Amino acid sequence: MDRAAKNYLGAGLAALGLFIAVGFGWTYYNNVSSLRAAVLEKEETLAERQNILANIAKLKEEYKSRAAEVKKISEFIPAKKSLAEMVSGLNEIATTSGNLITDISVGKVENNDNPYSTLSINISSSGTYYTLRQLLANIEKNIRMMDVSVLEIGSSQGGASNNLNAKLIVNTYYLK
Amino acid sequence: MADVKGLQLLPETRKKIEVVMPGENRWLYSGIIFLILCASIVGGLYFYSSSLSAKIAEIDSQLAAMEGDRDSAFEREVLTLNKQLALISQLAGNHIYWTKSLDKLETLAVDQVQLTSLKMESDGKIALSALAGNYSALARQIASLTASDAVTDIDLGTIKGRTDGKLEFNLSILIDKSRMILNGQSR
Repeated sequence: MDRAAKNYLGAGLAALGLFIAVGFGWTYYNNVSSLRAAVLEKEETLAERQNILANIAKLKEEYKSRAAEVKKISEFIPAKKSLAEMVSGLNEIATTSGNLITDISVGKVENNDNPYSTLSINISSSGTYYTLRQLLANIEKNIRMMDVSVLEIGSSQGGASNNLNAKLIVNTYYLK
Repeated sequence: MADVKGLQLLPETRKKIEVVMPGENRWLYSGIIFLILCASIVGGLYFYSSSLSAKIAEIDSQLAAMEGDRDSAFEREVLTLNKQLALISQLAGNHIYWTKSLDKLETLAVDQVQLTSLKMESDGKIALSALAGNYSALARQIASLTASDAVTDIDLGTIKGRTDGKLEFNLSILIDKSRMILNGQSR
């Protein structure tokens, strides 16, 4: 091969190298840049998720260890209406107070502004002043939050007996 | 070429004499080296790119596995608990203790006045009907309520004299909620 041919071949090889470098190398270089950024982002996400999962695992342990307190909180303002539990609770409240509950009606109060829903319970009861006071005290201390919004007391049979008739509007709450 | 008396002066075949000059192959070698260099760089980038893609796929599979490991039910429970905790202080702060106001009314009641009906509302309004033995007892009752720092306003409604000499009267009382119905005993 003469000198000129060698030079042409060398130049051709150099041109081929340049073509490979520009045609493929540049594409791969750009690809690598975006992939590295993606890997960094994914690694951050992975680390974040691992951290979150580790925190959730810790939280789960704490949640389990404080199950009794969590139960109380769930009873204080339940996630649902829990009507059965409410009726059972009212029965216990009335029984322990000695006041006779004669009538109960339950309705939902529309209060869209509040972050909770309200159930309104109309209670008619009969008993002495002391049993009525005990009924109120039991409602106030009940683990499920209950607020007596209206309390009407009147003596039965025109005040001839010691019995008092009371009407209570009790609000109780649950999550929206 | 024919021999001249057995003597051959010129060679039978012609042989080209190649003289290698220093630096003659420089461009060829440079081209080869450049090509190898470019191919190496491109190859390196290709393998690096492939390894990065594989890493992304591996991280994606790890993330997918983590999603599978999540305890969605527990997470919902925690979110519910969070909402409940946020509401506790608000609701507990506005919790109504009517026993507190009944106790207060007991202390403010005077002799010769007998309550016949009572209506108490959570906005602090109390409407009561009562019987008083005489005007003096009625006046003492009003004075007793007025003197209390838990009572912010009193309106006297109708006063009716009864055949038995007692006075039937109505009072509308506005109470200070913080003193009469809120901030009771802690739960």
